[in-house]
Amino acid sequence: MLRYLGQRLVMMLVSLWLIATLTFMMMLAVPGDPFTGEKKLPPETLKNLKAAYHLDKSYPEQYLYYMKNLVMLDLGPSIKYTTRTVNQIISEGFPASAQLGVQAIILSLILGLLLGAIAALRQNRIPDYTATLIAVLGVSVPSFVLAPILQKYLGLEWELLPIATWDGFEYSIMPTIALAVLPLAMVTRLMRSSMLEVLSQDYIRTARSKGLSPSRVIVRHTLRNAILPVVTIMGPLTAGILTGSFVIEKIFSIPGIGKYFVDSVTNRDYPVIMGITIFYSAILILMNFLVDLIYGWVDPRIKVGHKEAS
Amino acid sequence: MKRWVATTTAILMVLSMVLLAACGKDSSNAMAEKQVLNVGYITSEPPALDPLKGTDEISDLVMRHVLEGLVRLDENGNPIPGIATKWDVMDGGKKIIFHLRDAKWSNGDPVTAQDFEYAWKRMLDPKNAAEYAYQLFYLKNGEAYNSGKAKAEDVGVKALDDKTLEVTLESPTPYFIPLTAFHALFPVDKKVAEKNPNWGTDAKTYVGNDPFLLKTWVHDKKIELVKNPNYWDAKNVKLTQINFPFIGEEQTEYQMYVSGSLDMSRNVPPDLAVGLIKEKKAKIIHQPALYYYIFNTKKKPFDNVKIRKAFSLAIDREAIVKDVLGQGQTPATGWVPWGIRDFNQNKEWVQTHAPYIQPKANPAEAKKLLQEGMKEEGITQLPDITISYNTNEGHKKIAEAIQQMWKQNLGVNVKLANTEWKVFLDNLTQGNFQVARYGWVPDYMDPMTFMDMWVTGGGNNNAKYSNPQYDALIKQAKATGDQKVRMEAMHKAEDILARDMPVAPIYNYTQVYLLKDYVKGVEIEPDGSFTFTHAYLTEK
Repeated sequence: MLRYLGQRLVMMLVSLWLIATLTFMMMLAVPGDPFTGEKKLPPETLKNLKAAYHLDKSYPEQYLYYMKNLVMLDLGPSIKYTTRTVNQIISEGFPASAQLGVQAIILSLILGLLLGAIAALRQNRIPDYTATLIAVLGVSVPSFVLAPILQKYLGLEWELLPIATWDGFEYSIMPTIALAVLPLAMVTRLMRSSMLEVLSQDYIRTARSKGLSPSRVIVRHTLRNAILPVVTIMGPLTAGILTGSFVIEKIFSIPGIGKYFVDSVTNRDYPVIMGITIFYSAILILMNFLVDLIYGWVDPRIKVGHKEAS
Repeated sequence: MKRWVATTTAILMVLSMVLLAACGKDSSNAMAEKQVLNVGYITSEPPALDPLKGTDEISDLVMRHVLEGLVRLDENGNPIPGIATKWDVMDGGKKIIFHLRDAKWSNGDPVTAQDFEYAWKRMLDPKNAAEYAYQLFYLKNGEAYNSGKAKAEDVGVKALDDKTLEVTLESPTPYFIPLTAFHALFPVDKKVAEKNPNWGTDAKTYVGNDPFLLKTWVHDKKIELVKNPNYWDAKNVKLTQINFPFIGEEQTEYQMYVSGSLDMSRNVPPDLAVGLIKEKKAKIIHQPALYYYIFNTKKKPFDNVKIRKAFSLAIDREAIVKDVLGQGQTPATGWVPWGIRDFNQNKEWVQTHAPYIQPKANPAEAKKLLQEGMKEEGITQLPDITISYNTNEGHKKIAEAIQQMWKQNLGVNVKLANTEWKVFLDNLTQGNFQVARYGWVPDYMDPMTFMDMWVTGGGNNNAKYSNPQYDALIKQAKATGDQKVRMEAMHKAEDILARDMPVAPIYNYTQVYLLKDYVKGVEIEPDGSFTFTHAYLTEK
């Protein structure tokens, strides 16, 4: 097990290094630089600015300089937000993004599993149709359409919740709903089909014929197996929600780091592009690793760290 | 009898209602108890609040409320006393002596001439790599010091004593005094900045000298300002607090304004703006800025002046401002937009000359010029024409309208190419375009900011236009402090632009905003930005 963990750790670091290197190369290949603006700067000023951010050096020198700092976990200064470092931007912004993401994941998991299970157990009846309708709507209505609708009704018309900004739990409710709808729909659909498949398996019939109570059959034998496909998608889904909430953060004016993900590219803010990409990649890699561990725990047949006998 | 009672009662009721309504009106002009203003203006984190680093509009808004320069500007853009109570212009406009008032920093330190000298030299210090250093290149040796060719001592700014600042310029620059109202020329507390170079990054260490103090700066979330009791004119400041929540979406900002959580909104969704203007719910201000199309004068077919003129004449500017935009913009009649003054005739610049460009298209003349131009070039068929613009719904709509006009009025097929902003700018600099959209907002309130763009080799001359006669006129205007000579030279230069047409001006900008009736005293700067120094709230 320890050896497996060690191997995984090395692989994770290699992946991160590859991502960082590729991002660095692609970033420099894009036309324009941080100082390309509406009004051109005098050449001398531009020279001073480039020198201040080490952009006057050759690409290999810039790369080595960046990597050296990265090893020390120093992501450098932001070029656009001149008084902040990338480490500050991430440490100040991530708590809000994370809170929103975690709430959305919990909401989508609980409701999604419940709706999916009910739909499967009541197949082709009203609860099934209702859950399927919710799932279809969730997949087809984008969050940036749903968000203003929530703002208009829950915020403006019925005055139940604040329209935007971030000042306490009630401010997080609407964005959480808007963010949770898509993963909720995905979990519902996946859970429903996987439940239906498990329910048709022989061992369920066996369990029923042995006289086990229906609730015991569902909880002990069906749910545990049906949940596996959901666990599989949880890694990328969680990373996606934690990192992909920039539209929702923008609409609800949430002080997260989502917007930096997009804006840094628009601004050609090189250190922020690198820093946020590496940070998000680390989350994605970590989530996939956690999912592998949970997988082994949910289904003991999958032994983490043991190669299958050929 | 009963009828008499009923009539009297009715009359009394009507009278009392009128009286009540009148009282109500009176009370609405009474000052509100709570003088806290919530403003929707800031769309994202201000990059910096230290004059050394802030270069954008949002940083400028906040800095204008927490820091005060030598002068402020009145509604016409003329300088009025700020930290300087008066100034003497000498040596044909090359030397200015500013006399400072007794003012205090928010930490109690006096605001001194040394603070200005320090701030300006700090801005020019090449080590500090300030983007706006060029705003101080008017100072003697300013540019030389910034490029490492002169020492700090050589720069033309010197504190003669605590309250007297001597400024020496490279050449007479009449707009230098109003320029000191711009944030790049604001002072910093020398004692504080020397001890802590990062003083401007946190509300706790921030030191200001303006009507308001930076109370809170939560990154990506909000800025709160409170009244500065130490300000020299504090008695005329009524607001106790201004809140600027950062709102990234126009729709969200609009809903917050409607719900009452904002008293003002400056970012009105364009699709709602037209309706709100019609209903008189939104207000418009004229921005001294120009929207135009640039012709690449070094590439065929726009290296021919008649072809450039033909394409300009085929644009129906009136239709663009009315049917495509509809937010109070006006067709451009020249290269200097509305809101910029002719300081010789003391009038708006656009009113001092006959329009160079007509609002309506002139298809007959355009077709004739196109034919003549093509003949001169020896071509029978025009190459494909492409309009380049940066990705934006507004630019797209205008480009589509112009595409249609050129097809209809000239019989030319036009393609549209949109690219991301920095890629677009890169293409423009490299000359990889035929016709491209652009806009220009003034750096300072003088026609020169629009005129010196088109000198040969100018950094912003993306048309790659060159005319020695034009260059000479701009040089002449830059070498003198005599407003008559300057303005006349620039008028002549504008005549040349009209003749050569390297760019086709399209319209003058506006700014749409929403303001609740109970908010009074909001000032609009000549450049179209807002100041809340003398704003106050009456009862709702």
